[in-house]
Amino acid sequence: MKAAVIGGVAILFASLAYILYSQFIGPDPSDSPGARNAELADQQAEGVPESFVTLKVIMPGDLSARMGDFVENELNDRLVRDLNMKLELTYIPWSNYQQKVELALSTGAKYDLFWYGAPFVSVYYTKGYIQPLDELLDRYGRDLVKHIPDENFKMNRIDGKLWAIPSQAFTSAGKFSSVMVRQDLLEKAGMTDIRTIADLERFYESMHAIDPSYYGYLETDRGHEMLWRELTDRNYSSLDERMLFIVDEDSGEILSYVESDLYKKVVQLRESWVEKGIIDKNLVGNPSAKIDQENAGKLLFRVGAVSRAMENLQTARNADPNARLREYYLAKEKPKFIVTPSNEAFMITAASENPERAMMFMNWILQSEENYRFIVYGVEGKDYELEKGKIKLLTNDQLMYEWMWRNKDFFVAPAGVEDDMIHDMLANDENSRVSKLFGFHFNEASVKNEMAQVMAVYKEKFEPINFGLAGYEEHYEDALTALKKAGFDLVFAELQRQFAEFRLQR
Amino acid sequence: MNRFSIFTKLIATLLVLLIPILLLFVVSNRTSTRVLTDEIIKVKRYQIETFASQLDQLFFQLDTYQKMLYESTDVRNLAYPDLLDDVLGKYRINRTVSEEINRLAGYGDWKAVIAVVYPRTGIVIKSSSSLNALPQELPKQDTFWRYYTDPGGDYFMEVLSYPDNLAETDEAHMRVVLKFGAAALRSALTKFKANGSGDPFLYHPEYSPIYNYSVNYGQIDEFLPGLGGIDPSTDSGYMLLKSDDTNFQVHYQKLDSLGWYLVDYVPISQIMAPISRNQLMFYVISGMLLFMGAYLAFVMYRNIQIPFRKLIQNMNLIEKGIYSIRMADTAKGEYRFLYDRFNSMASKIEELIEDVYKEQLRSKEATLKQLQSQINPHFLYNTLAYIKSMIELNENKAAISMTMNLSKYYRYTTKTGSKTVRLKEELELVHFYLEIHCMLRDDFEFEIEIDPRMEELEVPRLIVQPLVENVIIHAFNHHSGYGMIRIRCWREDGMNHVAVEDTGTGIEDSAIESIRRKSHTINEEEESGLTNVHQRLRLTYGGGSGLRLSKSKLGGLCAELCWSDREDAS
Repeated sequence: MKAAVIGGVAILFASLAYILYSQFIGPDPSDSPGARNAELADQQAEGVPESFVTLKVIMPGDLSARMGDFVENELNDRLVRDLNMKLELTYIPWSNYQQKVELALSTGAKYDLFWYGAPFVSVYYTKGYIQPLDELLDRYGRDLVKHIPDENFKMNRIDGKLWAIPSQAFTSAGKFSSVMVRQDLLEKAGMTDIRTIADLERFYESMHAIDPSYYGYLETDRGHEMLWRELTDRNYSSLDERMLFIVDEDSGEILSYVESDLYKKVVQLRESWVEKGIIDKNLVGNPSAKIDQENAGKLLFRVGAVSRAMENLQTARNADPNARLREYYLAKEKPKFIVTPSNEAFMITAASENPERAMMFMNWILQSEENYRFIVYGVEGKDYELEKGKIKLLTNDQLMYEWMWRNKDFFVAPAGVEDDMIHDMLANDENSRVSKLFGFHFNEASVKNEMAQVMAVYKEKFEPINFGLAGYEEHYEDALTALKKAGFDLVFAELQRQFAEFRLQR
Repeated sequence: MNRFSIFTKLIATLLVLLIPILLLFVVSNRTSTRVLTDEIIKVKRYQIETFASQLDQLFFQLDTYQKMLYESTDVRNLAYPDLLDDVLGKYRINRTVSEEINRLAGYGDWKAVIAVVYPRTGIVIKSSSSLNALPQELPKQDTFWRYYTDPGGDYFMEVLSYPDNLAETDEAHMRVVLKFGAAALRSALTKFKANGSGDPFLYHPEYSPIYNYSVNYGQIDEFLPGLGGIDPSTDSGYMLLKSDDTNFQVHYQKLDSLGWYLVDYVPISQIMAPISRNQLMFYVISGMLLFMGAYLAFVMYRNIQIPFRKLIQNMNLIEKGIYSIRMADTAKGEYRFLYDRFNSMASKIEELIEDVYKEQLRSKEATLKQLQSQINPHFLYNTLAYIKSMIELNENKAAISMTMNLSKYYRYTTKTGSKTVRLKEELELVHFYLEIHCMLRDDFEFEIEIDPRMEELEVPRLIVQPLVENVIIHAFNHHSGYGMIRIRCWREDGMNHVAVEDTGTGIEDSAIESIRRKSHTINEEEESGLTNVHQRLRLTYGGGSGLRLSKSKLGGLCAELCWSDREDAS
C-alpha cells in the first residue's frame, strides 16, 4: 500500500515536472519555422554557421510552380541542413529585368545576390552597387576556385579586386557569332549545313516556298558578329552588346563601329533581308512576338550562343517533336575569340547583410555533383532521371537555369540532344584565341552624360537602321550627325584612352 | 455513529475548499481564453483584411492599366496597320506600345501578363515572351477576372474588346488582355505566410484552392467541406472547424475583384496549448491534493478511528459487566500504551470484583458457621445445665454471670447489621465466649491485651472468634492440666497483629505446617475455620495479610492474624 502511494505521488510529481519543464526539453510544436530550422541546424556537422539567415536572391524570368514548391520545401530543407539558411527568390521577368534590378540596387533594397551578364559587372562596380569578393572567395569559395578556371575570374577583376563570380565555366569562344538553325527544316529544304550568308537566304526561300508561315530571322539587336565573319577579312570583336565600338583582334586597335564600312555592309544586308521578308517589319518593334515565333516552332534561324542549340531544343520540340537544332559558324576557318569566358556573373550587392552566406551558397552549388544536380535539375526521380548518362526532365518547369552554372566538371547533356550537338559544344573552343578585350572594362563615369545622350540617339536613330527598316542611304547621315552632337567623339576618345592604358598594363 | 465520519468529513472539507478554487480557476481561465481568442480573431481579421485589400488593390491597379491601354491612341492605331503606311512610323508605334506594356507590367511586384491582341492582323504585343504567356485561344466574350484552369498553370484573366458591345467578338479590332497566373498568387500567399501568418490560401467553391507553396495540403483538404458552408452573401467572417482533435479558427475574406475567398486558419488549440497545459497542471495538482487528502483521511481513519472505536466497544462491554474482555490487536504508538492500560485496568477490575464477591461468600459462610456454633445444642445445653445447677446450688452470682455472658454473647452474634465491627467489640465477643467456656470447664484462664490504638479498628466480623474456638476445641479437650489463653493485639511497622496463643498440648512443626498448608489452600468441600479466617483476611486486606501459625512461647499453638493498616484496603 505504502509503496503504491509513494509510487503514485512520485508519478504525479514527475508528470508535474514534465508539464512545467517540457518546453525546455522537447521541441515545441508552436515554434516558428526559423527556430525549427535553427534547431535542425544544431544537429548538423561542424562548419555550419550558427546563425540562421534568409538569403534573398534575384533571378530572371518567372517562378514556375514547381520551382516555388521546390525552393520552399526540398531545397530549403537541404540548405538549412548544410548552411543553416534558406533561400528567398525574387523573380523579375526578362522583359524588364535590367530596369528592376537596377531599381532594387540603386534603392539599396535588401537583396543579397543577383545574376546578370558579365558586361554589367563594370557598370555596377562604377555605380557602387556591388561589393568586392576576394576575401569571401578566399574564405568560403574553395569549390568555386576548384571548378571555375582562374582565367574566368580575371574577367571580373577591376582595380585589382574581384567583383563577380563567373558562374558558368564552359566553352565560350565566339559566343554570339554563330548561327543556330533548325537542322530538321534545313534538311527538309534539301541542305545539309550552313557555310555562307547565301546559304541562310536560300534556306529561308526554300522553306518559305513550302510554308509561308515560317519566319526567318529573330534577332534585331545582336547578330552583327555572326555576319562579320563573312563580310570582312579582319577579325573583330564587339566591345559590348550596344554595338558602338569594336576591336581589331589583329592590330589591337579600337574602332568606331557605326562609322565603319563593316557597319554599312551589315545594315545593308539587313535591309535586303527586310525586303526578302527574312526579317518581318511588323514584328521588329515587338520583341515578345519574335520569341512567340520561336516558341511556335516557326523560326528558321537565330544567333547562336555556343550552347543555345541545346538550351532551346526543348522549346523547339514542344512545338515540333521532330525539331533539331544546330549551330554553325560562317567562314568556319576564321578563329573564334574568347571575350568573356563566362558571360554569367553572380554579384553580391553592396547592401547585402549576409555576404558570407551568399558566397557559401554559391560555393555549395559547386561543392559536389549532388548539390549541383539538385539545384539545377531538382529531385532525382521526381524532377529528372538519368537516362543513358543524360538528363531526362520529368517536368517542364525550370528550376535554376542550367546555363547559369554550367560547368565542364558537372555537365550532363539533356536527353534527346544529339551527340553531334554535344560535340559541337564541347569542341567549340578549338581554333580560338583570347580576345584583346579580355579583362577590359570601360569605365563610363567620366563620360556618363555623353553616354546617356549617345544611347538615346542610338536607340532612336540607329536601331531602325540596324533592323533594316530605315534605309542606310536615306537616314545614316542624319543619324550620325545626331550621334556626334550627342558627344559620341568624346565617348570614343575616352574609350580609346582607357583601352590604350589597359593595353599598356598588359 | 457514522462509520466514515472522520474520513467523509475530511474529504468533504477538502472538496469544500477545492471546489470554489476550481470554480474560480475555471471562470478566470475561461475569461482569459475568451479575451485571447477575441484578440486572435481581431489580429487574424486584420491580417487577412489587409492582405485581401492588397490583392484587391493589385487587381484594381491592373484594371487601371487595362483601361489606360484601352484608351491609348497608339494602341488603337495599331489595330489599323493599313492606315499607317510609313514603315518607320509603324515600327515606332509598335515599339512604343511594346515598351508601354512592359513598363506597366513592370510596375509593382506583381507579374501580370499584359497583352494587346489584334485579331484582324493576328499581331499580339505582350509583356512576357514565355511559352504560356497567353492561352492558345482567348474567350469569345469579354470577361472580368475569370479563373481558368490550365495544365501549364492556372490563371485569372480579363479581356476588354474594342469597339465594345460587339455581338460577335471575333470582329473586335483590338482586345486588351490581362492575365495573372495563379503561381504569382501562390508566391504572394507564400510571402504573406512568411510574414507570420498561418497557412493562407484562396478558396472558391467551384475550383480547387490556390495554395501557398509550403501548404499543409492534408489540413486544408479537411477544411474544404466545412468551407462549403460559407454564406455567399457574406464577405468575411470566421468559422470554427475541428480536425484531429485540434480546433481551428478559419477566417475568410472575399476578394471583391476575383470573387474568391482568402482563407487563413489559426490552430487555436495550439496557441492555447500553454494555457491548456497550465489548466491540466492545475487539475493534476487538485487531483493530487484530493488524493493526498483522501489518503490522509484514510490513514487517520485507520490509525485513530478504528482503534478508538474498538476501545469504545470494549468499554461498553466492561460497563455491561463482561470483565474478561481484552484488547486483542496490537496497536501502534500511543494506542499500544492505551490498550495495555485498558487491559491491565480490565484485569484489575475483574480481580477486585472477584475478591469482593468471594469475601461476601466467605463472610456469609462464617456467619453461617458461627450461627451453627451458636445454636450448637451442646453449647447451649451445657450452658443451660450450668445455670440450672448453679441455681440449685444457690450460686446465684455464677448463674447470673453466666446468664449475662450468654445473653451478651448472643446479642453480639445475632447483630448481623454490618459486615465489619470494631476490634474492641470483636474482642468483647471473644471475652464473653471465653467467660462462658471458663465457667463451664473451669480448667483454663485467659487474658486479652489490646493496644488502645487498635480498639477502634474495623475488622471483619467473627475474625478472631474462630481462632479461640479452635483452641477450646482442639487444645484443651485432650488437656489434663490448667490451661492459659492469651490474646494480644499490637501494631508494628504499619501492620496490625492479633495473636491467639495457648498452652495446649503443644504441637509438632510438621503438624503446624500441615495445618498451614490446609488453611492456605482453598478447598470448598472441607473448609476449616482457620482457612476461612485466612481467606477472608486476604480478600479484605490483600496479599500481605493472612493467618500465620507458629509455636507459642506458652507451649501451645500461636495463631496470629496480620493485616496491613491501609485505609483503602478496608
